[in-house]
Amino acid sequence: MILEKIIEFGPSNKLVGVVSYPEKTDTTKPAIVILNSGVMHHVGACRSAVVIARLFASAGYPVLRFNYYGIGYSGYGDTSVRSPLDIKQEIPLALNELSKLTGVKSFVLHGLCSGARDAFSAALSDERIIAISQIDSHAYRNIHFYLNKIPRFMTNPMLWLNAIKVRLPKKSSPPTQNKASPQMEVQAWPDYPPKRNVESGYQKLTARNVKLLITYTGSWNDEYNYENQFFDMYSNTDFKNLVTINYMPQANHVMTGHGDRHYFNNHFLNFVKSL
Amino acid sequence: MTTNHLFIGPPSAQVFLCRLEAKNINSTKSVILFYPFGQEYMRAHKAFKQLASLLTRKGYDVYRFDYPGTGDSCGDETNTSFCDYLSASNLVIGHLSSQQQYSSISAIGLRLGALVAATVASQNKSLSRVVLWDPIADGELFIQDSIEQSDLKDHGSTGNWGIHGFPLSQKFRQDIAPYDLTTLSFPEHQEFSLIHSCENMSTEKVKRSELPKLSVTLVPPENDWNYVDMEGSILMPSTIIKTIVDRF
Repeated sequence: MILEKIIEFGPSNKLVGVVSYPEKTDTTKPAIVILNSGVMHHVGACRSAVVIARLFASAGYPVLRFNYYGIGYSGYGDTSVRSPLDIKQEIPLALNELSKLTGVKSFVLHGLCSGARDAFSAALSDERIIAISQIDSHAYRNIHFYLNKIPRFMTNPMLWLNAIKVRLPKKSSPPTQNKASPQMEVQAWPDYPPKRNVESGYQKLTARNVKLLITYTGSWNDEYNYENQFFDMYSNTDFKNLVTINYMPQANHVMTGHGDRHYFNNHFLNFVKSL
Repeated sequence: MTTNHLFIGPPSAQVFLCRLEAKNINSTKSVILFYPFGQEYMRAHKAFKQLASLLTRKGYDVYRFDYPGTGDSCGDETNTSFCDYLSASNLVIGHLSSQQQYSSISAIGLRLGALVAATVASQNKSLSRVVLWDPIADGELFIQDSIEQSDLKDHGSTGNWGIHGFPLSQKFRQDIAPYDLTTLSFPEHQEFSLIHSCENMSTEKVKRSELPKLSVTLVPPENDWNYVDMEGSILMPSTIIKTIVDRF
């Protein structure tokens, strides 16, 4: 049976998370840490973090899902970030706490979107992280992306219509309530860092043999539109056999489809079992 | 401000509860917040945090909890029913009463949470006030709303409907159908407030009802709790939150 405990940690115990413990913890196996995605709290999009945590705990892995400062049930703290590749200061605190609670010494970080980018940044500076799972992380268009896009565009009249529509002045319909409403708190995402910086980061990770589960969904098809684009984006890097690509063009960003979530979760579990 | 997070209830059915203590005082007044369903729960989470924080400044201890099969509570969405939501709500009310002597316990329910809050208020004399925030008045209207929001492709063969990534089981639909907050009997001392951002069938029904000491306040613009984008935008309806807090 899985045991779940709420933990408070970090300075003044302001960080809040939930640990899912397996029946028996094998300290030679890694623990899983699930990161926030945007402002979504530690339950995750479509409750995905809870489902993943319970699935992994059932398979023998301790899992922590927690909130950064100011998100979910965590209190407010220093959230200053100097550059897009800087590590979130809450992450090493979370690893320390999980290590203290379970005795586990190595970690797999999982994140969606901003969480995926945070996992990458954290892995760069923390050698306890032996693998990361990224859903819809950095993406950079390349020549193959455009070569892929053109035939799809030419053969799909709906895409022409959409392209024409967005270029016409929007006279026909007023902005929707959602977009116009001052009640919307819209996330402002920083631009991706230069590709060479990200590639340099992946080179550091591969030099350390950090394993990577790289997932892209159909929602990223304006930036990532074929399975092996990852390798072409970072063509100066020898990824050896460290990368598992999981291209899910049928899925959307938060995987609202139950089947998509189920597929991903099992894929992720098999990835971790293979470490 | 002190916050406590705990699980209550038996290990196999534990309910996640968060208590935010009133600022600077040992409070004798409390408020329980009742979340909406599925995607709306995610979208309302930060607004509830803000609402809770503002209420503590007015001297209230504020409690938030996750229904079974949602958030951090035990269970799977596909195996829980509306009755489980009610049982968990009663568990929370019982926990409050056993832990601290409150002179008043109020409830604020958003959307489906309003139906839950009103239903448990009809069963608990200890609740003195209920705020119905953009309520869903009955089970049939909830099902109707769910049909409009559901993704037919994600229905599958299980009988579950996919509502923006959250399963709504056949069991839940069958269970909730007969519930109607306008036909419930309430203790006379209870007070109701309808605070809504738009007119719809639910609000019309509530206004026509005989809920005790009902006050009605319309606070536009309309809150779209089901809007989904890929940017992670959330709804923070400050005006309506302030209106609710001003009632306390």
